[in-house]
Amino acid sequence: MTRRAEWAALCGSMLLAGLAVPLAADGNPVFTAPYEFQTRHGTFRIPRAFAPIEEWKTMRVDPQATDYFLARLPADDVAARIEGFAPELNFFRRAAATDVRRHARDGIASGGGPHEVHLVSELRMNLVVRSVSLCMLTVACSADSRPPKHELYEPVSAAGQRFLIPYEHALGGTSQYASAGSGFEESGDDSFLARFSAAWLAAHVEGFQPILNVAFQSVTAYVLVTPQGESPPLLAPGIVRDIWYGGYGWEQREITGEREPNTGLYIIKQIPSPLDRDFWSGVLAESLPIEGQPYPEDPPWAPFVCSHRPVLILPASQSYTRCKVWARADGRIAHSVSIAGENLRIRDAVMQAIGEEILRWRELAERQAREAPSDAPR
Amino acid sequence: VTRRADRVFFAGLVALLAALAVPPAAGQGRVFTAPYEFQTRHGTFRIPRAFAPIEEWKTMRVDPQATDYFLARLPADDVAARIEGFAPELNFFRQDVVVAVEALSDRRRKLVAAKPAELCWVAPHDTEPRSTPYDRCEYRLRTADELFAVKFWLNGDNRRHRAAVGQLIESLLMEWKAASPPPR
Repeated sequence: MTRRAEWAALCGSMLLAGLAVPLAADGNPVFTAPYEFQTRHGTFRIPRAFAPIEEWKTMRVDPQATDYFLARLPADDVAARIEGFAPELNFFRRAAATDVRRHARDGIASGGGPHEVHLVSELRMNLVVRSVSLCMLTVACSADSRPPKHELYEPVSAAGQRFLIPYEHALGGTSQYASAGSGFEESGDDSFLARFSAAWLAAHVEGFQPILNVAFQSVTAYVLVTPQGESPPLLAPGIVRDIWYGGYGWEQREITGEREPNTGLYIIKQIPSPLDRDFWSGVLAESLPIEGQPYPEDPPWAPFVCSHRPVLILPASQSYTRCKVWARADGRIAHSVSIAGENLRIRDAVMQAIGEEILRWRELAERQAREAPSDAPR
Repeated sequence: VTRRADRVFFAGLVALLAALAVPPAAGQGRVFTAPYEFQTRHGTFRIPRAFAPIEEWKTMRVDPQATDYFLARLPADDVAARIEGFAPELNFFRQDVVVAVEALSDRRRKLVAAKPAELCWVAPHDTEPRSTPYDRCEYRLRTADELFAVKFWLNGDNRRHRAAVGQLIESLLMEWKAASPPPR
């Protein structure tokens, strides 16, 4: 929620707390809105006239999540609707009414005197007036003339290139970057992060499924801009091709012989998960380099770093494959996202759509630099 | 009585302030039932929780979002109740209808007009090992006012109901669209 909306909610609630609860003649607050029962098959809002007990006609009754509730149809109402229905039989209704009234009187007797009622009511009014004043001041101060959010852009610079990131894709500040689920990357002088919602990807990429495995398939893109004259690396930073000749050793490789169903790539297990033997982290590759030989360069041997596990925070999810995919948008810009499950089949289309969008942000910034400030995107 | 009234008032006030100041931790506390809200360039949509795109959104706090893209999910049973012959489960997979909506800018309207209205492929569901390859399709439609582009997905025999599902989605979008000007 925006700060302004939070203020509005706070002020509105305070105002409601004071104003929307009228005081009865005896100083009690009187609630008149229907009371509410939220059942598994829908919500019932029951007018106060059908309150099950007399006190509920005016007292505060919070909405209740329950599959069982009571209501009472007043005898006179029923008699008015059903011919022949007797509103009073065997002195029954009068006795019940008497009992309720006696309780009400007891309640009044236990309260404070008229003077106390007056003082406290005054305090409440004072609070309400202050709340209203504060609200008006806050709303007036927070009112601005900014353009609609759809026309807002966040300027970003990386390696000397400028980009205007639409509000839709901006992460909103560095504090959110850490929780963006972006993996190992962080934004820096030569890089930045941008968000692509599942709905955006579905709208831009043919065949992209926005919800898979009970989870949104949004991605956070890591965008790397290389200095003038340098090309982006073939692999995402942090991923090395020397996966066997380096730390793990060729002899430790485990080639399952299986292919990942969405990509057709070989599954090469490296790091079994301690959580479950069916989970794994490792690499996928189209082929295996030959031991002791240089890595193939044309096309280059580029493994995908992947994991196979459920979405851990969603108990209903199944194990599926998620891979870090790296692509070049142009001669100086590369980007990396994690793509999962069936969307891996169309990973090239996903990377192309994201790459084109990033290049568009650079064009927006270039246009802004060319045009007069008043005509440029804000 | 007065003391009770004051206790109610001040306790309510304190509780309210506390509730506003301290959001509940994930997985705990309050259940949110109000429709969730998307503020697009062509108006605001308030979508009932029953059509939450993922299960968690049915009860969690979802702040209003200013975006031109949003998702909804029509539960398979709901669709089956409204469209005769629609199978709520096929190939071991619940046939909820996922809907992606885009509020079109002028630039995007031209681009989307050139996109294919249908894209199909044959595949099982990778998270449902029992499923076998079957026809799966993605469909595009645009609302009558040309302001919104919609995508939805149908599988197997449910593809026969493409037109009816499209009409259902359009009518739901009209229901969800609040009578309010585009947000600022």
